[in-house]
Amino acid sequence: MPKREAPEINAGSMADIAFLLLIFFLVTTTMDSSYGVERLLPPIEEEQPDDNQKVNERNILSVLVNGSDQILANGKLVELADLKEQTKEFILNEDNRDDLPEFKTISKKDSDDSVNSIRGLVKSEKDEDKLKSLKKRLRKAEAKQLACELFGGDLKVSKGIISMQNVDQTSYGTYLAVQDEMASAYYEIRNAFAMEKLGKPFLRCTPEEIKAIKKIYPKAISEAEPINTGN
Amino acid sequence: MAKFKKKGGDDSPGISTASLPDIVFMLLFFFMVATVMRETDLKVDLDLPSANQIEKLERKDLVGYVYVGRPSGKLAASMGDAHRIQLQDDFKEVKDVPEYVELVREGIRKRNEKEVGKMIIALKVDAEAKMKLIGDIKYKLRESNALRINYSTNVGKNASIE
Repeated sequence: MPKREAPEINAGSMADIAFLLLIFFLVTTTMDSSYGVERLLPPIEEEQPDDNQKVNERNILSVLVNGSDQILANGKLVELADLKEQTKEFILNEDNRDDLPEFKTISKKDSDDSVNSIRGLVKSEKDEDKLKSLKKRLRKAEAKQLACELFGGDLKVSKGIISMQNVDQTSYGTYLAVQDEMASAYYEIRNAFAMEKLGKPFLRCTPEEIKAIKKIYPKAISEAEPINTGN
Repeated sequence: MAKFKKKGGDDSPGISTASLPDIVFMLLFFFMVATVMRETDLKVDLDLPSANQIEKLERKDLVGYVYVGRPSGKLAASMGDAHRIQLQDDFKEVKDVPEYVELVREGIRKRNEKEVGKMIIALKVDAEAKMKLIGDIKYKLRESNALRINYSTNVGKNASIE
């Protein structure tokens, strides 16, 4: 008996089927933006924090965004585009001007001491909650120590705090733009520092280096409760 | 030279479509991979602001979404054009936010107990919304201890993505 060959399957309609699926996916695809600005909200404190804690006026840059989306930095009207430069000037205070923030110095010895003392406390602490906060403090102290080691000797850290406030009528777009400008200021400072000391951009640094740089230029932006304008 | 004599007439040969399925399949796979099925139907118009210092939301399974915008298209007639909050598939009020946070938290807990603390609430907010509404939402989030938030933005011109 002659061997009968299996008839070939016609693949001509394959393209049609694939097209059908393709069109389905084309229609259902939504290229969703998954980028965003991450922030950590402050927890609600049971008791109101002490307002008595006086902060030297020169250490504060108060940024107020009003209902017409105008920006006031320390009482003066500024354009959004100039805000970044002003923030950088405020954080860096390169000429040691006395209307810009002072610095605190962290010496290598101090940071070693505090790491050791907290480590001692961690060993003897039994209470869960206290242990948790101690460990947090330890991590901070270790980051400082690391920064001292990486960048040699004493660190000058700005005491400056940016206090941001908006009113009810401020638009979200402006609010976020201001936030972004200030974040950009920090990023540029950190980047310049990384370039100078390590010879590479900030985002190429190792996690340890990033942690250390963040200790030297800590992001100190506080958000005040919005002002209620009553309308 | 009979060997090289043309067999047919001068008709140009038809283009082979044998590779068409391959091309289409390639496109198909691209879209299959790139597709993110959106879980919710957007009922509000969103014109997200742009920002430069941004991060990518990596873990979609840890994210809950709060949408704020003007009711879109047909809904504008019945809902008015003030900015509204949308949670899941419905318009909601500020007071409903904690309930939704709890829902997201519960969902994460079911998948992995340990990651409950890593929950992120992404705020997808129209740039023209007023801060009054956002402030209220933020306060509710703080009350329900959902402190990690992410303001969804478009990628700006000089973006540096961490």
